[in-house]
This record gives sequence, C-alpha cells and structure tokens, in this order.
Amino acid sequence: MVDAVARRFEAVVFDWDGTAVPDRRADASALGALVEECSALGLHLAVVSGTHVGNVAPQLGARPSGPGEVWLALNRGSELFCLGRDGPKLLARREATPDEDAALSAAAERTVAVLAARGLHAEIVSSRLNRRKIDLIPEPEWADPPKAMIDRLLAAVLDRLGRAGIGGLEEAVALARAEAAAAGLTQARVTSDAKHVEIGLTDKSDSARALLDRLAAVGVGPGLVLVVGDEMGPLGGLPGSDALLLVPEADGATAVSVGIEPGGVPGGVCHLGGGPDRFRALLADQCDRRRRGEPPGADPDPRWSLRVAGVDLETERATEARLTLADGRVGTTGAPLLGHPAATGWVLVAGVYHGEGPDTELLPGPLWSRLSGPLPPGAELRRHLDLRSGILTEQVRHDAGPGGPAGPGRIDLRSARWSSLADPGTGVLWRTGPGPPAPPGLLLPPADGRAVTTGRVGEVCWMRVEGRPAGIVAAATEQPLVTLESESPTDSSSGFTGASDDDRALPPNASARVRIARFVADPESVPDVAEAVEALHGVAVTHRERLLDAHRRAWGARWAAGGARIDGDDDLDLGVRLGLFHLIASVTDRGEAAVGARGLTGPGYKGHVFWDADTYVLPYLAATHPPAARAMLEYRIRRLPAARAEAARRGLAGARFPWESARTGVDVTPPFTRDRTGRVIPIRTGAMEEHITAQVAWAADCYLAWTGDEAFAAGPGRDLFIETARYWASRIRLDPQGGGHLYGVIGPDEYHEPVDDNAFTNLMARWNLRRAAALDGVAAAERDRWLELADALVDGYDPATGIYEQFAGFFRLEPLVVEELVPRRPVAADLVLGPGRVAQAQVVKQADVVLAHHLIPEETAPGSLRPNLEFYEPRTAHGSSLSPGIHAALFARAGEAGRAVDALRIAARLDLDDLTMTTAAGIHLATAGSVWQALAFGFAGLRPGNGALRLDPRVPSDWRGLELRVRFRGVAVRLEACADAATVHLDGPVTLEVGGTRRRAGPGTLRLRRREVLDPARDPAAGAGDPAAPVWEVTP
Amino acid sequence: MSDAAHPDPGLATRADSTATPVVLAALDNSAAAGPVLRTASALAGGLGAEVRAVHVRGDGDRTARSIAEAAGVSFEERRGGVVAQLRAAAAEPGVRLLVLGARSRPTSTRAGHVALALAEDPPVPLALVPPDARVASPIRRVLVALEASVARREALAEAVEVVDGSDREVVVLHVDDEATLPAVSDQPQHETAAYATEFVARYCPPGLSPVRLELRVGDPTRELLEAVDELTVDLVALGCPRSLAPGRAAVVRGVIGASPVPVLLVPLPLRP
Repeated sequence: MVDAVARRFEAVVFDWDGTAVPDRRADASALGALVEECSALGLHLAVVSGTHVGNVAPQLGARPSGPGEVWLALNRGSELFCLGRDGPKLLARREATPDEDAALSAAAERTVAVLAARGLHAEIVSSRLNRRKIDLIPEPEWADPPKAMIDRLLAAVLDRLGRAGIGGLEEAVALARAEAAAAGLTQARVTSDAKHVEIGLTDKSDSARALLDRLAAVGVGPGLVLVVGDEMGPLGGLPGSDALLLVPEADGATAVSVGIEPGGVPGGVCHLGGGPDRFRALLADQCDRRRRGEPPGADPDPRWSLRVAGVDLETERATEARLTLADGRVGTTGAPLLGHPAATGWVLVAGVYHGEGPDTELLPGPLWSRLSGPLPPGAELRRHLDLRSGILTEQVRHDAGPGGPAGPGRIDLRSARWSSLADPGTGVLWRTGPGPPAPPGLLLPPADGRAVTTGRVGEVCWMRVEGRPAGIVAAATEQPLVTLESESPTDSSSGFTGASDDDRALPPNASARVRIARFVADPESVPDVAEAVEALHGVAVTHRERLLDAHRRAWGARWAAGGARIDGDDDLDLGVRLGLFHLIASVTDRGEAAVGARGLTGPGYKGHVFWDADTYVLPYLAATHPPAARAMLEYRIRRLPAARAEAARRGLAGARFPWESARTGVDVTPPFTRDRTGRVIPIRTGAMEEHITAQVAWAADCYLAWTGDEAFAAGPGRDLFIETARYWASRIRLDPQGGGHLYGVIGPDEYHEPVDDNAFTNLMARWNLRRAAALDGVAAAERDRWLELADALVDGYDPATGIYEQFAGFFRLEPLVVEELVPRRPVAADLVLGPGRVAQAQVVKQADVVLAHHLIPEETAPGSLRPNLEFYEPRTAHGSSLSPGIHAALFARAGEAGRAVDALRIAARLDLDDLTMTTAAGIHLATAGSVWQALAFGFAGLRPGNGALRLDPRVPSDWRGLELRVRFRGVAVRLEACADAATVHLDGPVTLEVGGTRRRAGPGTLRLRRREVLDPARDPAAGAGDPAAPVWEVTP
Repeated sequence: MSDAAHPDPGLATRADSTATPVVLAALDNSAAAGPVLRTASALAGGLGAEVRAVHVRGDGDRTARSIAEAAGVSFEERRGGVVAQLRAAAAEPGVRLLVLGARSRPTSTRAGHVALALAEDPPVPLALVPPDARVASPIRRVLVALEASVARREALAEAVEVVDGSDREVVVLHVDDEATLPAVSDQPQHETAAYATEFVARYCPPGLSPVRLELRVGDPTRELLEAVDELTVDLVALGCPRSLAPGRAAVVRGVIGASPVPVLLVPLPLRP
C-alpha cells in the first residue's frame, strides 16, 4: 500500500462511475457488502456522482447500519442523500426556480445553435435536475464508451471539434459558459467529460462542500479524509471532473486517482491507477486496519492541532494543561503515558471539592491513562491534540535492544485517548504496538499522592479517593483487541469492547488494547464502588468504534454550533480555537456546572468559582450551547439560599453572592495571603468586591437574551433578578440630597480598595435594579423603589467630558499614565511600582469603567465609549488576564482595529505563550471567554437584545475574513464577514437588526454590505453612539 | 556544564568518593580566621567530613595556627602565592569544600581579592565567611538564591548536596525584577501559589523536597540581604558566574561584600 494511503482514514469520498464501479451496469454487490462493513466499523463513506439516486442506490445495493455514515451526493451537486437500513433518504436538494430552469434550457439551446453555426452537430441529451447535458459527439460508435476508452474518446472529440474550427474542449466550454451568461446564468457551472458539455447550477464542488460540512458535523476534518476519483487530471485542457472535489475547504485531505489519467494528475494527487478493483482494495484495507485495532490518527491540520515533541523540563506542566482532555465533568491533563520527572498529570472532577473554607480545593482523581514505568532517556515522544475531535494521540519510540525484566526493550507505541464528550465521565485509551504494560490495577493514585483504596471486581479494577466530604471512584478495564475474520462491532457477548468469547476466533492481537475508565463522583459523599463498576459495564459493552464515533460527533456538533475562524492570522486563529476548545470541554451541560477559574485543566485557584464564570465564560455558552450556560446558572440558583443567608448576616435583604465560591456557596476567599514580594497582605475582595452579585443577574440576562428560555425567565431566573435587586436596594445609602451611594466596595480594578461609588459597581447595580423592575408581577411599591434607587445612584459621569470617574476621588489621585511609565504592557503594576504607590495613583489594574460599556452599553451615556476608552486605557496596566480581551472588544467597537487586534493577540496567546508562568496551573478560562466576546461583540458586532440579533461587524481590513457560529433563539447563525461585506446563514427564522432596521429573516442566506455615512444628520441608519461610523445594509 | 578550560570542579572531588571527604578551612592571620574555622566545622558536620586548616604563610602564622590548635584540627602551612596555593590545596583528592574569609576586616564592604580570584574559577564550591559572621553551629537554615533557569538548576543541585541535611531547612529565594516578572497577576491569594508551585517544579534542584519558596520583587542584592535578616538565615548559597570582573556578577559581589552570614558559592556553567 502506497504511503499516502497506508494509514487509517475516518472518511472516504469517492466518485462513482469509473472509480467505484466500471460502469453503471456492473455488478456492485461485492462493493455493497464492503460498504456495509466499512459503515459498521465506523468509516464514513460518500459517493459523488453526476447521476441520480435511481442509478446509484440499486446498483450499490447496500443497507449500512452505522455508525459510519454513507452519503450519496448526486445529480452533480444538487442532491444529498444518506443511505441507511431503509435505503436512501433525501437530506438536501437544490431546486431550480422556474426562471433558472428556463435559463438552463435556453443556455443549452443557444450553445447547440452556436456550435451548429460553427459546423458542429451537437444534441441536448438530457435535462436532469438543475442541468442540461449536450453531447458533442452524438454518433452511434460513441454512444456509451467505457472509461477505459477515455483517451480514444478524447481524440475523437477533439478531432470533431477541430474540423468545426473549435479550439478544443476549452473553447467548447467557454462557448457554453458565454451562452449561459447570455441566458442569465452568470454563475453557471459548465463542465465536460470529453463526450458532453454540461451546463448546470451546481457541480461536484458543491457536493464536496456539502460533504465536508457533514463530516465536520460528525467530528471529521479534511485531514482525515481520503478522496478517490478516476478523473483528477486534465482532460482536453480542462480540469478533470473529479478535480472539482478538491475545493479549498478540502485542503489537507488525501487525494488519489485510480483512473488511467492520460494527462497525468495535478500536484498533490497520488496516482494509483487500478480502477474500481484498486478502489475496493483501498476500502478493504481501511476495514482491515479497523479490525486489527489501529487507533485513530490525528488530523494534521495545523489550524486544529497542538503538537508537542518530547518533554521540556521547563514547560512540560504548561504543556499538559494545554493538552487537557475534558468532557465537562472530568478533566485529564495531557501527561505522557510513561512517567517523567517533569510530568505531573491531574484528573479533576467538576464541582467535587475537598476541605473547608478557603482551603477548599478540587479533589484530584485517579490517573487512568498511564502505562507502567518511566519514559526511557532518548525515547522519541510525540503528542498531538486534535482540537476538532478532542482526541490526544501519542507516539513513543525507543529501541534499547532486547528487553526483559531489567529494561524497556523496544517501544513502538501508538495511542489515542479521549474523555468522552458524548458520555461524560468516560475515558478511553486505545493503544497498539510493543511497549510497557498497563500498571497493576490499571489506575494510579492522584498526582498529589494522597491515600487511596483499591480493589478488583472480576476484570474491573477500581480506585477510590476519599475527600471531606466528597469522593471519587474510578473503575477501569482493559482488553486486548481480538482479530476476527468478521468481527461483529455489535457483539456484546463478552461484555467488553471489541472482544469475543468465540473459541473459533483467531489468536488475539495482543499488541492492540483498549482501556476504558469510568468515573463516578459525589460532592457530598463517597460513592459506592458498585456504582462505578456498573457504570463501566454499561459503557464497555459498546464497540470501540461506536464510542469513538459518538465522541467525535459530540465535538463536531459543538464546533458546528460555536466555532470561530480568523482567516488571515493563523497564530491568532489557533489561540482562539484553543480557548474555545477548553471552554467547551470544561463546562458540563447537565445538572449544575461549577466552573473554576482554570476549569478542568489544572488545580490552580483550587477550582473556586469567581465572577470569571458568570461574566466571561457563560456568554460563549449561552450563544452556542445553552444547556451548558443553564447548568452554570443552576450552580448559582442552588446557592441562592447561601447568598440570602449572607445578605441577612450583613443585615441586608435579598441575596449576596460570594466572591469565591465552591461547594456550599459560602464565601471561601482567604482573608490574607503572601504576595509575590513576600509581604503578607489582607485580601479584601471577599468582604468588598460585591459587583459579583450583579454579574450573576447579568449572566441570567445574557442567557435569556440568547435563548428566550421562558421557563427560566418565569422561574429561577426571576428569583435571581429579584433577590439581587433586593440586595442592592438594601445596600444603597442615600445622602441628604437624595443621591444613592455604594460605600466601601472594590471594583474590578483591585489596585484601589476600598473605594466609594465605584462607577462600574454602581452602573451594574443600577442595571440590576432596572432589570428586576421590568419583570412582570413585581409589587408596584417595590418596583417603584427599585427604579427610584436606580435613578438616584451616582455614577460619576461628567457630561462635559463624557468621562465617568472610576470612583469618588479618582481624579484627585496622582495622574500617572502607566502606558508612558513602563516599557511594555501588560504589567503587574502593583509589583513593579508597589501597591502603595498604585493605590495613590490613577493606575488601573484592568477594564473597570470601560467594562460597563462592554457589558451594559445601554446603561452608559451615549457617545461615552470613546472618551472613556481614551482616558482609561493608557492608565490601565492590564495586570489581570481578564483585561486585554475586553479592551479588544471595545477598540473594535470604537473602530480602532489595530489596537483591537493587538489586545486580542495578548489575550488569545496568553496560555499558548504562558505569559503568566501559571498556565501549568490551568488554562485561563475567563481569558478564553473574553477572546470570544471580543470576536463576537467586538469584531462581529453580534449583540442580542429585545428579541433581535444585531449585526454590526468591524472586521479589520487585513483579515481575509471572520467566521463565527452562534445559536440565537434556537436558530443556527453563521456569520462570514470581512471588512466591507458579510454573509449571514440562518437555518431558521430570526429577527435581525442591521443598520438600525429590524427584519425577519431566514431560513436562508442574507448578504450585507458596509457603506460610509456621509451625512449623519440625515442618515437614518447613523448610530447614536458614533454617528459617523459606517453602517451595514442588506443587499438585494 | 564544563569544558576543557573549566573542568567541573565537582567532578574532580566526586571521582574520589572513597576517601573521607574534607572541608578545607583557609585560615589567614586575621580576625576572619575564627569564623572561617567555625563555618568549616559546621558544614563538615553535614557532609560527614573532616576539617583541615591550611595557611599560606605571609606575615605570620600564630593567629591561624593557634585557632586551629584550639579547635583540634590539623594545620598545614604552605608557602607561595596565596591564590595558587589554595587552589592547589583544594584540588587535592577528597576536598569537597573550601572555606575562606570573604574579606579581612569587618568594616570593609568589598570582597577580598583572594576570595574574588578563587570565586572566578573555583576548584570546589567555596564558602566565603565575613569576619564578623554569625556562625551557627549546627547550620539550621540555608537560603538558596535561585534564578529562573533550568541550566542553573543543575548547578545548584551541587549546593543542595553540600547544604542539605535532615536537620536543616532549605529556603529557596527567587527575586524577580521588572524584566522577569510575569506580565499578569490576577488574584494574589491564588496566583502566588500557582507561580511558586511552577517555579519550584521548573527551577529547584532535584532532591530539595519539600521546598519552602520565598519570592521577592526588586533589586536582587538588596532583597537577598534583607531576606537573610528577615528569615534568620545561617548560610546563603548562590550560583557564581565564571567572571567576577567589575560590572559583572553584581549580585555575587554585593552579597559577598555585605552578607552577615557565610555565603556558599557554587560555580555556574558557562552560558552556551
């Protein structure tokens, strides 16, 4: 087998006539059986053909049962079917309008007439769906030539064209294209297979794009796709018909030709030859690989890859955090399979804490993905995280001569492992090749070495970690993969994956093994071992390919709903994608989601939940996977009693949420700590940083804006709004002049503490009161009180300057402008200048006043973004990882693309470049969330509100494009935008707001263009915020 | 890391591991002699080593000899250039450590020329003792100054061998300045711990466990000396670059000149 195809693929896309079958009359029963087997073993297949389903499906005769999909992309790009047990089912069809149909006919007739005028008799031989076919050589001798005669056919056609004075197929196609344009089809797809010229609305490139989308939705990227045709190379000067499959979106796919290819093949295509027999051999090889237990490989696409070679003493732990596999419940950092002194490796379970008070921390779980022994010195190690599918592949090679008890011998391990997003709490390690065995008991104690209990139930090993009061039990089993003549992927007779008790089986391929681990955890007690063992049994009966397929599909669905792409800046693009990957992986969509500052990627911040979760993480999930956002809100809802109790303890009403939260909802902020200078410093945030209470309400509102979840709005969401409003109402102090104040708080800028009337806190509190007052059913007296207090609250705004004073007295502080004092930002200014100095100066830690412009722009004074950004940004040290992303969003809104991109880059690369030297403790989830907000709210200008989704892109001109996928009120929205044009794809009806105009749109595609505002006074689309800013409008 | 011009001094001694290790006390005829000998004895205890006194005769030897005799240690007198003779003595088999005075008088704030010369190309790790040093015996708390460098971690592993012991506490000190401080620091109650954990994992010599890490920000010399007082340290260990010419190795020069406690210098590898 040629190197290019000597590996496992996850999908094969292939041409039909000439590639899979010699012709349309050939017996394809063997192929049909092979297709069924491929599908059963998880390989996705797709037929691409110009003919219709009535020709293909009966000839193929397959009734695949999955998990591999079988698609039929037919009628030259106009139809897509899926093939199942009940036959083909139509998924999509491009229907020509009557005008298009008439134009196609006219184009064909005109082409025939033009050719006739040149002395060439041609005939329209078919009027299929969305196309017309013209026979250039309608002679009996060439009625239905087999593919094997292609070179003779071409010669005959060229001769015929030449005698008519037509310069080859290229000119024939050009003539047809011109006539199509004259008939009104300016985007016609005109192709030729030598005998015919076809004029159509679609072609095989449309099939390719549709299939790549379908494959992406099941978690398969182009790098794992094999494309097979027989006409890849040029024919008569025209690209071969199968070359149309090689669309730009297929970049990275492996393309081969089994055809004769008289004109050779294009660069990048491997010419195998051998026709349909060779094609069947390719499919059979793919089946063999799966039966032998070859684990899945990694998609080489660099946009979706993190690759690490070896172990770097300095950066290994940060690497492990970046390579974390998580499923929303359990996270496993990416330590190597074999031990290394620099490696640690953590398994963390969301919301499962150990300890009390400030010492509460995430309870680490057993390590499930290790082998015995150390990584030998000099061993070659490669790890590759595929971000598209959440699969970590690892290769270890070492040859130290004969092995034995004293030495490792030869190691040639290939492995793939994942933490199942389809079935959270399940880890799968699939490996093959000679190497060290699994550790006794399969599981190793947690990274911190705490005591565990272990045992065995039959072939299941278990390990229990007991905390106070929580517990984690992991159960694991590992089986060799049996090579069978005809392995039944659904055989569950043994109860274990891929194995069978059949005495007639061939000897087991002992080098391929699959380990499955299942975690059961409880935040309030230690789970029973039997529960974990039973849960493991429930998973282990499933064939490994089905486990893999389910996991890939889950990831495919998440990216389809919430992916983002920056075209034109690969470094930034990868940073964005890595952040989104960990956001998706760290938040469960079931029950409650306790999302710590570092998620499930490391033990940093002890898993404590901060405003990071509500303000920075939740919006991405609300906009792309609402169940996860709902789970995050559930975490807060279940701790509403504790928040009420805290407010009551302080003699106040309503609910006051803690600065740092863990298991119970009681504040777990430590009262003091030692800082980086060695000083013991008090930590006052727990006592005074109260804006978090409004953040919780804001998060609920954000969720509702994206989802319209009426049950939540009427139920627990309402409680959140009301109780937080009551808190503020009781917290505000009125002065004799009737001004409302919040004394003794800490704003997001923690360099200054405590302060009075922090503008951000007051604005958020005001918003909170007004939001609650807008609810139905609130008693009039209470509502009126809330509104009065909201109006009374001072906010430090000066209409003369347009600037909010960050807190009372801020303008009287030493006017240091940190941008001019330090060689670079971000900078931890409190450490460089000293906390005392910054406290007395106008040096701001992070977005504070301007954060209000980002979160609640409707509460800020119109036109005040720019003056506040200009005043505060130079004074902002960005000493917090939360700051750059927000500033990126705001600079984008302010039209300062360069500064926006610079800020975005800091945020997006924070963990890739380990700017804090604490990535080893986990990925900064809030920073990742802020990056998405910069893209969505800033550059894309997507903002839900009043039941509509507003679009106002501000894409930098040096980006080729920005793509963003969200879900608004249940409708999938895909925005593709560049500096002055945008396309919005909707899979359902939504209300959009573009250029100040609301409109109902979808399903379908909307095209927008940007135009300048020449006269803001007369232009109805001119924005109130920045009248001179360009506006968007829908193009007809 | 070593090369032909600068053979690893540790290798020469480690090769002869069968001999009783020796801590060599270089006694000059000054007020520094007593503290030097006491320091040598304190360090020898942890190494299980024997103390030998060596004196390179200059103007006289009665102070040096008397101090040695009073302590009951052997006394060897050599003649010739001080630096050359001490270097030769330290290169003899079995010598693990050379202890000598940092400077001759308490009022001096600069390291002595002999100390500086030997520190540039030491045959073994050097312990430099101020004439007015407070010498603890036994040595309980050692401050190891550590840079953020994997290469230096390997070198300081040697310091760990010298100073570690079951009855000693090793405190690692790292001083960041504006150039080395991470740019971002969120919540200090967690960030410091996260940074410290990672710093220890990256840069602390193996064999130091558990590690107490002290972090400071500012001028490295000043912060180190303040930490010596604040933490009541008995001995400071720090890496010493190969060149102590004026304008270089400011921290080493500053610490040698001002430390109130003995300073153990560990030769650092040449920078690649």
